Amino acid sequence: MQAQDSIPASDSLKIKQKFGIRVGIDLSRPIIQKIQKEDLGFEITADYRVAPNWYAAMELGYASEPGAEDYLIFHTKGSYAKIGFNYNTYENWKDMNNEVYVGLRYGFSTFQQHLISYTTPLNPYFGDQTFYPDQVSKGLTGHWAELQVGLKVEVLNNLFLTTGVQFKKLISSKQPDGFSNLYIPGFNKVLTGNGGFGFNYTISYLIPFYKK
Amino acid sequence: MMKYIIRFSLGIFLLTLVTNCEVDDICTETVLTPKLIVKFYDNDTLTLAKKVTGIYVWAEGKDSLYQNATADSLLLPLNNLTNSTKYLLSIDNQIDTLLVSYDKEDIFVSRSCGYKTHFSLPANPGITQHWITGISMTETPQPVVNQNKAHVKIHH
Repeated sequence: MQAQDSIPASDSLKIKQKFGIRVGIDLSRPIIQKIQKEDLGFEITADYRVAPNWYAAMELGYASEPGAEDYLIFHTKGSYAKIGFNYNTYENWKDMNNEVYVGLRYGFSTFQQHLISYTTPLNPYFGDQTFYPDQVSKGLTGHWAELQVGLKVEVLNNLFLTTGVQFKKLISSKQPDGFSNLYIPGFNKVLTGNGGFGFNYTISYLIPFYKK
Repeated sequence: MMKYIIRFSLGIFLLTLVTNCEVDDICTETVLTPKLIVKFYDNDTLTLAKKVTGIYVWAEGKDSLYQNATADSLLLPLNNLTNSTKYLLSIDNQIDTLLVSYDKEDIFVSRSCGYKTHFSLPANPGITQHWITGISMTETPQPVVNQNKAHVKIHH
């Protein structure tokens, strides 16, 4: 990315930085959707530079995710919003606009869980039985906190590519009767200890409002 | 910067693979749905435990669960597809039946283990009296929610 012939910026040279709103979409979801064939979902992102290294940020998304475990088949769908901020720790040369950021988010999701079938295993004498309750639990919610780390690179003027990871911790969730939230849109798979993990590959465009 | 992106992206990809196969994916429980525990007692002194010898036990239409066994108690799985399970208990070619009727409830265990069934017995199981002389429960109605104590007492 770096120009070979870049001249170190002198202290006296004041570089004007662009401020504005940056909007984008996650590229990984359409790709995963293509691979899994039935996973639908999208995520749009927006951030606004409030100070030289601080960005107010949010993500909005929708997920429809099939879940198949050894003894469970279920399907989760719903939408989510995440709001928070990013802090850029990367010091750019000249008028470059790259970022190595860390961010915090509060995440919220409303969704439904469809329990398609379940099995009662470890019954060697009568055999494992599978039941088909076909039970849909609506109006479920989840709240979580999220730590993000990632890179943002300006590949063309005002056009950015972002790659990042998300570490999540579920704060609370409304569980379905007789079942559990094993997947939450935006949170992804609920791991042991209510942890979560995610990643994103996002393309975004900066609409500059002013320079300073 | 591009070099960092590639490294970082690869790192994320590997992390995703690692987190997708965590311990929780395999059921490590050995017992889920509790079994009915039947304990044998004396016919005259009702509180005196008394072993059976040479017992054969099977559920109707199934293979033997106990064969020529000496036991102070039996662990009997209950069929969670039906609301009753009929067991046959044979000693010296004398066959008695034990008909256990129950209510059942399926309870979520975990992502990897699915569900288990909890049974509750509203009344004493039905018996025939060839070598068995009587039956009682340690608690009525009896919830079969653990396997730490006997649920049903058979006197002989």
